[in-house]
Amino acid sequence: LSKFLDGDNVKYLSWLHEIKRGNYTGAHYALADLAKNETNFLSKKKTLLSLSKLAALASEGSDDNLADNIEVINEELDLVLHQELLPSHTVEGVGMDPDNMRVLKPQELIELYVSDANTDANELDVKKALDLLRHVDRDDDGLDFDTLKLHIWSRAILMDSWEEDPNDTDPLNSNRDKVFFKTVNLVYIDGDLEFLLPDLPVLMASPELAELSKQPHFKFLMRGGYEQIRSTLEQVD
Amino acid sequence: LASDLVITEADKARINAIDWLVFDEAHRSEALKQANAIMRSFIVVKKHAAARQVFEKLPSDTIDVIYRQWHHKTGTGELPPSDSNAIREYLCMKAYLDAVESFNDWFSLFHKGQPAKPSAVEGKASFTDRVAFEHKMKQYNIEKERWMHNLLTQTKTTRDRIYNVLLFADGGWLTDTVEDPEAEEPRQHQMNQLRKLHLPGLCLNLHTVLHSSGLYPEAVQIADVVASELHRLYQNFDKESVQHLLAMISKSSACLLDENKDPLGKLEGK
Repeated sequence: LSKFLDGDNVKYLSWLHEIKRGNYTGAHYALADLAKNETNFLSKKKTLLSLSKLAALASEGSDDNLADNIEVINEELDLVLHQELLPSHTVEGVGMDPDNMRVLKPQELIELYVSDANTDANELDVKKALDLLRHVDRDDDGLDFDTLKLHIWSRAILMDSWEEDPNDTDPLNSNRDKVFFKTVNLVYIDGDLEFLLPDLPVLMASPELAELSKQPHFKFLMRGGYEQIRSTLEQVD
Repeated sequence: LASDLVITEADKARINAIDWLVFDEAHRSEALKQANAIMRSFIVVKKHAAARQVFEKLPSDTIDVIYRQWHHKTGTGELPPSDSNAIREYLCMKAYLDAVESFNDWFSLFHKGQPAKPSAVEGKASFTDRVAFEHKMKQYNIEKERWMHNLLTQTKTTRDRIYNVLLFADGGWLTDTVEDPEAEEPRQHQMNQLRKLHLPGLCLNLHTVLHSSGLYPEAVQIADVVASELHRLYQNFDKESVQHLLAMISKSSACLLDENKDPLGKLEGK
């Protein structure tokens, strides 16, 4: 019977069957498989992952992989959580129903967090997008990790106006209120700055910033800001 | 299930001891800590009615009084760790007792409140007998509907109250949020024991309530809450209780399959 239930359409019956006969390891693997293949409904994927995790915890077998499998499930659940935390108006903005979302890929989540659809985006959203980078599949050919990273930071810059304020006596001080530098601060606290922050020339060459990069005031503020970051990092060393 | 045992004379003496501590407002912080300790000892043996009596001994302004006394004594609004932890514990106790009582109400409504179906008329019944039977059936259907309605209301109240305990804000049920260097070891140990003893049981009760009321999708979703890393409820489960919970949830999933619905109760296409 176990063999027959292994077919794709009957996987659902399979985990029910495994639990009934007390084979929690078997149920764990069947559920993990179902979760992996679930791309239509986010909430369904979440429950499959949760059940799979519980089945692993219930397992009495001597399968050494279970602890690792739970780690993988937690990573997946973290991704689900990031999608659930998207503001509902942002989700609606791209034509999805917040209560009935399909499963988004990490790069799609990143895009939504820093897109125009996320109208109230702030440094926390940019930080979430950066956190999501570790979920991105680096072996995916259609995807360039550094381009994606550059895109996030470029979007952070575009969330503020960089116009010169003639009444501002200390323009560099105004950097503190910019989403970009607030994000730098958050990333710094997590200790990921060296890995995540692109070099200034790379950032300035971002195609999305082509217009802005021509403005002397913007260049001045960015150079000043990067200088401050550098000296802070040196002080710590 | 939540059993309620007899309150002995010795129990009564401990409950009434709190009276001595609430006379003077200056002792209120001590009264709260003693009451918490007695409630812990009752709850561990499932003497919920006794724990409720202890709870009722503390005047409802207790938290205010403790803040006022402390402010009076030191001029600051920030309570010492032992006091803020005691207040949090008191609120945890309240959430727990509310949940248990709500579950008990649900339980008696479900098992005793259900109207009895009138027995069918046997053989060749007279016209009047059949009319009487039809009338009784009509009456029964009205009562049954009313009962179903009440049951659903009670189910939702109980569900919300159990979730209040399971998802107790800011770190979970019966955990301290402020580190107390002078914390007493036995208290920590007891709170830990109570979490392991009661949280899995409450999850199972929650499942019983939802499943028996036919709310299968919600019954399946308990898995999400227990497995979540935000609350880490699963850490309070031993293998046996996880197995039990999974067996229960798989029953709800099987019921959904029987109804030709998605086995996890999710929306299908839109």
